[in-house]
Amino acid sequence: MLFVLFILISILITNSSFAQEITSPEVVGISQESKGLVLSKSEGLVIKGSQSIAFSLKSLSGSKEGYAPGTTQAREETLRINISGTADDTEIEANIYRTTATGVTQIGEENEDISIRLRRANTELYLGDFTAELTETEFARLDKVLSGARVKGDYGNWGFSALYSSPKGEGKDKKFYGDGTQGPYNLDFTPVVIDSERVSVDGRLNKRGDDYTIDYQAGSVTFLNKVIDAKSVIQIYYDYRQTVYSHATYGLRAFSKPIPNLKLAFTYLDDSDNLSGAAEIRSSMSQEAIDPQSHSVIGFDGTYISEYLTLNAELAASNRDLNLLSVSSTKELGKAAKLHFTSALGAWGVEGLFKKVDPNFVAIAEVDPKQDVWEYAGALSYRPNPLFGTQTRYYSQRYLQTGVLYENVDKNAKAILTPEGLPSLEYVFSEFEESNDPVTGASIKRVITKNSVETIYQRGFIATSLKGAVEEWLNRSPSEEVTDYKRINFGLATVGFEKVTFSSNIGLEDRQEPAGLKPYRRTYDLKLSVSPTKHYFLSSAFSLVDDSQEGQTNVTNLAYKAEPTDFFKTDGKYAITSVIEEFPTTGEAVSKQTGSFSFDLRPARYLRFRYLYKPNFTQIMRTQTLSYNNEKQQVEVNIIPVKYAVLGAIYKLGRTYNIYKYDFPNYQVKENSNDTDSVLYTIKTAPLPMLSTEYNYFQENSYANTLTTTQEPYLYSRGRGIRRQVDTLIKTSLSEQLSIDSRYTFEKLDQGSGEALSDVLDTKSHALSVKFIWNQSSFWTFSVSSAYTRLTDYILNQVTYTFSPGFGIIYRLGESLRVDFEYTYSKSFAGQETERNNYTLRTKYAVSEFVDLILRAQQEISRAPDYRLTDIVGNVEIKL
Amino acid sequence: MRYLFLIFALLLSSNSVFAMGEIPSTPKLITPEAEFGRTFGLPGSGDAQFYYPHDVDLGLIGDMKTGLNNLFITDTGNNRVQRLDEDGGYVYQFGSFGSENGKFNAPVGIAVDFNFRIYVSEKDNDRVQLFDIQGNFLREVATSEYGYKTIDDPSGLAVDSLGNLYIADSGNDRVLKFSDTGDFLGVVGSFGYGAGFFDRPADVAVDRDNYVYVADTYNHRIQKLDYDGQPVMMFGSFGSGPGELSFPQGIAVDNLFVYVADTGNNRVQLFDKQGKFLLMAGGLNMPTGISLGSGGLVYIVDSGNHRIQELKVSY
Repeated sequence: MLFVLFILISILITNSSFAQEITSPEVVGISQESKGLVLSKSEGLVIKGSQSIAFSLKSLSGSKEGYAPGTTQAREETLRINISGTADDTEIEANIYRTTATGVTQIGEENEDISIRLRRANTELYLGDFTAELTETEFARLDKVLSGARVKGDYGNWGFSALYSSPKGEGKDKKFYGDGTQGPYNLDFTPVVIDSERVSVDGRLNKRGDDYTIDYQAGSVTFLNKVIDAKSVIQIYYDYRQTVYSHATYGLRAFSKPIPNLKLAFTYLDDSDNLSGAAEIRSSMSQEAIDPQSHSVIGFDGTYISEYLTLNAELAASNRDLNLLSVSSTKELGKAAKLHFTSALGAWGVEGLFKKVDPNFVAIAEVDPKQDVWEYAGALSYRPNPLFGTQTRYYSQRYLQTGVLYENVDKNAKAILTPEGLPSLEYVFSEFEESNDPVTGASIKRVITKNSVETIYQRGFIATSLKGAVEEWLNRSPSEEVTDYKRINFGLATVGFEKVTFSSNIGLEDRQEPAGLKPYRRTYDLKLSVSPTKHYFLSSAFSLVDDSQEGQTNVTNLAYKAEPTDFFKTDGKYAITSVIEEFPTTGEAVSKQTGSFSFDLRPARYLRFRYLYKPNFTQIMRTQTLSYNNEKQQVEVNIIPVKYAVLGAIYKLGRTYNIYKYDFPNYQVKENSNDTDSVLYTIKTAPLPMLSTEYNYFQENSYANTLTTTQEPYLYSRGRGIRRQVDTLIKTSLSEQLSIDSRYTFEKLDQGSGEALSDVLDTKSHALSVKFIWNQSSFWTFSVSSAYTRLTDYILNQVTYTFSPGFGIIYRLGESLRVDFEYTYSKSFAGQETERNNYTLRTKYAVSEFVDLILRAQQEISRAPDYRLTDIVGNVEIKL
Repeated sequence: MRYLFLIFALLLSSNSVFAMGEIPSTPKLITPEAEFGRTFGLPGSGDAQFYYPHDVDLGLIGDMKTGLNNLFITDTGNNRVQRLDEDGGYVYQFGSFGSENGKFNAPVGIAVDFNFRIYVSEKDNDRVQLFDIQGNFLREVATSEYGYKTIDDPSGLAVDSLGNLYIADSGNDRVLKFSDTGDFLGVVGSFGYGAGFFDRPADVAVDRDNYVYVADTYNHRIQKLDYDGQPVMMFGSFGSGPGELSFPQGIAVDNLFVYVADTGNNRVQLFDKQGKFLLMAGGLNMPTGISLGSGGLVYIVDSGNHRIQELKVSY
């Protein structure tokens, strides 16, 4: 099918006579003028789409620390193409949707959806993958993903729809309860045909992307914005990609409108296995045999619509042969009928429904049909004016499904009041009585009663919302049990105030369980912020979650910003979280406190002082001791003697420790601590456009203690380290074409244990690198680089020299193409010599305004130690 | 092989479009126009409610599942990220207050990359976290020390066409660059006033040619850097007139225009790629983030009004 589409695309593109009519709808040239931008635009064939391809390959032969040997590949692609246009009065529209993934599990391995639509006047031909969408009737319906052809015609007074297809999979239906999570919930058969799933929760159809996601390959459904509690029924219809016998689906629906208000229609559907080769297939089945079957449905329906009455009636018959290979009759005939009407007489509305289905009637592609159905319903509504409306409905249903008789009664009523300028009010009552568990079929005799009220009001600067619900679940069988829920949600906020914002949300849920338990969950959210002028801002927030089963958590948050003068500003935030934290022995109430404060003082344009303070600790409320502390302070001074130079000094302090959590009940013994202080001096200059320099001196001292005995007397091992570094960077642009970047770094590392300073690590290194860059033209840039490192390890008494020459080439073609290639050879001389070759290739090719190709390839070949590491990452982006 | 055919066909088609574009046509002098559209959100902590949101980014590729045309918003005051569909309908949220993985303390910057991953920066946890498109925590990014400094008050984020991540490391007055696999690639800038120096840069954007635009907030200007981080040009100065800026905190860029959230002036301004002022749209309250949708739609985080404001730009 892809090939067919490719041919179509090629024809569309290469046909010169057609191409003359085709012009891009988008920008084709831009130039800057004195006013605005100059564009030229044209109209014509529209090619739209997007392609995202990401692939990566990582391969290691030999061994290298931190890498697993072998080859790993991953590729993800999503392709959408839409081509639409008109030729010879025929509208053409082609679509491709394709996702493939290898080496990853998030998406199905391969999914394709290809279609071509040709439309002339009122007739439409559709080739490719489509959803049947014969959904106007209940009994002769087909709403399955198919692959084949469909023709539709609508000529005003009459029309038709015919389809021929091979199904993309076999239908399956799964019904189950939630488990109190968002999933994933696994389907039994995979892979699932893309777009074939219909997911509903408690009868409400969910929307992919909004309500759930599905992994078509793994066959798992994950809900997005809610957990599915154990009382909610999830029902998922889906096709999985396997059919035993050769299979075809035919369909024809024709309608006529003898008068404008009346539509009469006829539908014939056939969904049968092919007998060719069926006997051999069946005899080859080693496990449970599946017989080839035929299934057809014929239906008649009519709809009458007038100002006062809408009437819909259906008659249908199904004919199934359960075993086409059987010599004896295995046919089943069934009939179904339905009458549904609604009537509107002034303010009054009436609805009636009667439905009767034979035990042997089965609709096409219905996996788990309801049979021997008897349904009736009546509804009455009254809406005398736009401000008030009310409605009541009674519905009774009896049916047989997988041998279980279900009897359900649903009663509901609703009243709504929407006065202009006043709060809207909605009241809903519902009572649902069911005889059997909808999933297991077990007899339960359950009645669910719900009452809810919601009001929303926005006036001036105030917006409020309030929703309250009371719910009762009554189980009469096997024993009588009642569970009551009470829920209230309230929101109040100011809207549009510049200086003050207030918002609050309260959620209350109380539950009374049959065993007498009364679990509850309460959430309170309160926020207030004030900004009297643009220079001051103060904000406070309080959030409390009180869950009888999970405990209480509250967060208090304070934040401010102040700029009292042009040369001083400060901002800060402090948050306190109170929560129960599990310790090895007990659960302890703790207060987690974090803060961030910044003070910025600029007494003159050439001078800046900054002070930062970031406390972060956890306090055990019972002992009033800290179980964790991580405190940071920083002082920074910047001097800007001239516009293009800055001198900086930063002094940092860090204090961190954890207590030994087995030290119950005192919690005063530290398990480890790590204190650091560091200083950084920086000079950065850019005195000329051709020259920039940077000089850094950095020194960090660290002190660590680690608990080594867990019994008194507690002993610690001590550690100490000093890191000193001097860094010089010089970037020079000798001309527009030639520049030199150079860097020298000296580093001294000392690490010791106990009182010693350098018995663990004692190294000194010098590193010098130079890079010459020659911008030969706007197309070419060449670079030559060299690096030299001398590392002295005083503990091993070993000196390592590393020499790393290299070169690079950059090619640019306007803004559309850029290719970077770099090669570095690195050889070290030491106790163990190493030798490496590094190749890096990066390309970005904007093939057009719409197509970018990006490739990054990197290879490291080492002779000592012996390994080869290859890393290739690519992206193709096509935006039409 | 079929797939290669398709790519080839697409290349042909795009070249055809180019070729056809060379047919002489009458140039049209245009000036962009803008009109405010819908607003999404009310103050609060409920679904699709916000409290001082800071930044927004759009899913520009993929499908509904992977967030095509969905808005990903850092709801800073509620310490969470919310995802809305293109009509402002609530899709999901993730995150709550805290410092553990997957939690937030003042999430500010957000960027969705082409692999359907979400980067979120947090001002008060001084970190950038990476999530999958469902909001599942993947890992932290930029966890080490770069140029003797750890990340401090990270703010705006951007992803270029190579998948590289740019972080406005606001507290350190610089911009950091990382590869799509999290490797550190480079640093540009330090505190100062000259070209290539920044003063608390709040946001960063990258165009399709990989030029980097930095909202140099406390210098009240925009700086444009090339792919290697060298300053190319800068525009804007402190003030409230056309083309002048006051504490710009958000920036977005497309093939034609540079969109600036001119926070202190409560407006959005449009410039061309050479920094020439084109238009402004005011009446906002502390706009901080800005992102571009399809069809000329611009989404502005109208932070002080706790909502997302849609702006339609036509030309």
